[in-house]
Amino acid sequence: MTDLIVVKNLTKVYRMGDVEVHALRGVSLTIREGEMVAIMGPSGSGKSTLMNIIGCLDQPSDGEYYLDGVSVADLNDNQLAEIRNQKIGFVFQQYMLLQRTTALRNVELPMLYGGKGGSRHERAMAALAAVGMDERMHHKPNELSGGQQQRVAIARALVNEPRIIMADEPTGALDTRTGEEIMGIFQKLNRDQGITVILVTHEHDVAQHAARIISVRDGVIAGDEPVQGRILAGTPVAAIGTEAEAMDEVAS
Amino acid sequence: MNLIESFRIALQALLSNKLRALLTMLGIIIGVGAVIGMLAMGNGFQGFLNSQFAQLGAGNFYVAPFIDSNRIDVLTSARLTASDARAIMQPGRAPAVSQVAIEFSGNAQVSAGGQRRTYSVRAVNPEWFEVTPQDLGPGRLFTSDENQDRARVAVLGSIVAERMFGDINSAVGQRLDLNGVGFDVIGVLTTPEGTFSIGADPAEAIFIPYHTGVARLYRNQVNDRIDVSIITIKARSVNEVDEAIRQVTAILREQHRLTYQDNDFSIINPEQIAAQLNSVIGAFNSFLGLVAGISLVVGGIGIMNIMLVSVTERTREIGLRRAVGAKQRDILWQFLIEALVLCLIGAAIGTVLGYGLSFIGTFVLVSLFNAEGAEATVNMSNIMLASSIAAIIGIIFGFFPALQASRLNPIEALRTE
Repeated sequence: MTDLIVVKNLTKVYRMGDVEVHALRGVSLTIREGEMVAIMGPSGSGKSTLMNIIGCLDQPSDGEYYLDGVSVADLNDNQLAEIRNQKIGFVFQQYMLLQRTTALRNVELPMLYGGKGGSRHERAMAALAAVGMDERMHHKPNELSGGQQQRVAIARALVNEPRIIMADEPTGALDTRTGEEIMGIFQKLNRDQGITVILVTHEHDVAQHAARIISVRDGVIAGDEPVQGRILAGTPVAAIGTEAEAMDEVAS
Repeated sequence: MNLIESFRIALQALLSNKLRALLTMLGIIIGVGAVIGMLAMGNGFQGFLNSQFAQLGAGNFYVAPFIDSNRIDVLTSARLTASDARAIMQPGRAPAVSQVAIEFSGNAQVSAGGQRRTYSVRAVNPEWFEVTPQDLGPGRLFTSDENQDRARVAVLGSIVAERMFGDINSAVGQRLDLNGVGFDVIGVLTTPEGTFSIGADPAEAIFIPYHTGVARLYRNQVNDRIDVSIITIKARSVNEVDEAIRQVTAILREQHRLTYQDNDFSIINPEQIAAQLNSVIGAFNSFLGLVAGISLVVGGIGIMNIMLVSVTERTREIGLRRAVGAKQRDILWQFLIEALVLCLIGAAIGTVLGYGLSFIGTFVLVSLFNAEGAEATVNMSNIMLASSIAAIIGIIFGFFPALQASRLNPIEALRTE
């Protein structure tokens, strides 16, 4: 597996009035293609800042960041937007769907800003089908449950076939059972399509669904280890494959 | 992101808050409506004025015994006579002139069948009816022979005929007295009331042969210097008016033996007056349009205001769009196009309003300005003008909010509640 994300000695300093806030104080880590990683840490630890930089929403103050071999620190705003569009799919705690538009239109959104060819409509429908939402593609967000909305959001993240999915507290607004279903989808995407999944969470139960946990505290990495006793979510989507296969995955 | 997509998004955003969109557009709607309505009214008035001048007869100009000078040391007094008209008509002297009509007019006591009224009596030569054509009802016009013979015949305007004899058909063949001199009514004009004419309204005037008039009615009013009150000259063609004026001026100066002196007569060219009036009205129209245009600017401020609110409300949406790959310019275009669409829809509704206002404008012209037959007309160029201004305003006032939207930090935008 190749190194998809290489971060070296990353620092981020914010100015808040007269005070300088050191959100990151020298973070180095490597995430290989196809990994499922959870970034954990209490609020104020710098995990959100780290996620924003890895997600190309923000630039580091200092240090190096290579995404797929490209030095992100050297890119301008437009190039960052292009990388977000082509290589990264975001999933947010609050789903972030456009309220007055159908699920289908929501999923088509990233393709407005750059697509990979082919019919937008068909690609969006395929992405919705992959999360089991193809039957409700003409529903608007307010006609969908929280879990369903998050599935639409995942379809939106998938539609441009990204290398990475970044999920920021994806189950934070959901009940435990629905959260499990969502985690199941991430695990399936990671396993079946080899998409690198980065979860940002402060819940240990959620982090346990990943194969590796990186702990951030006070702007530095406090721990980085493989998960012992990884939780495998059930099979919320018919196409997701059997439990047995999932067990094999963990064993390997 | 392509343009059609941007327009679709803009429309969707506006449709999702129809009432607000409508209220925001109100300034533009009223502005565009007012501009179109005002200009339509101006056009109508201008058209009316031009049609009035057209009624004077194309290619006609007038010579009158006024001194066209502001100087107070002018020693000569005005001079204009029938022999001047004859001189103009002498073959070869004024080749650009095709016809000359002479007139001496005044008021007279008119009595018939116990009725006594005062009317304008216009003594004209028969050519007058050719140079300024009138509608003839019952009867006939008088002939050159009748003019030469000082025949006591009269042609009545329709209103005179109705008032004196009840209706126009029973007037012909009747007799009436003008200042005590008996005349036979030989014809009635049906020229509509209010038809533009240099002199009294033909519908309210009595026409008698020129020589009859100066010999029998106006004997005490004419003298050696003035025995016509106006000469109407028709140029051979509309293009030869200026040439005809030059020739007539030269003849009259020669007739009057003028050398270094100023003209002792005035030449009135309606085309020139119409052109001057048109430019004055045109300037006035532009002024009205400008005043109406101010409401467009006010409307633009309304647009900016609501776009700023919209950007604030949709901060999260902007953050999301940025996260999924929208570049700053994509966001800029999105909001700019939204403002533009707002203005263009406003302009469309405003155009309909402008049409409505133009009907009111017609009513105002006809009833308040007595411009019978005037019609406020909306023309395409005015619609284009108002719509372009609206579009430009949309772009100008939409730009600042759109720029703000595009410059939002995506992280902070996503975090906004």
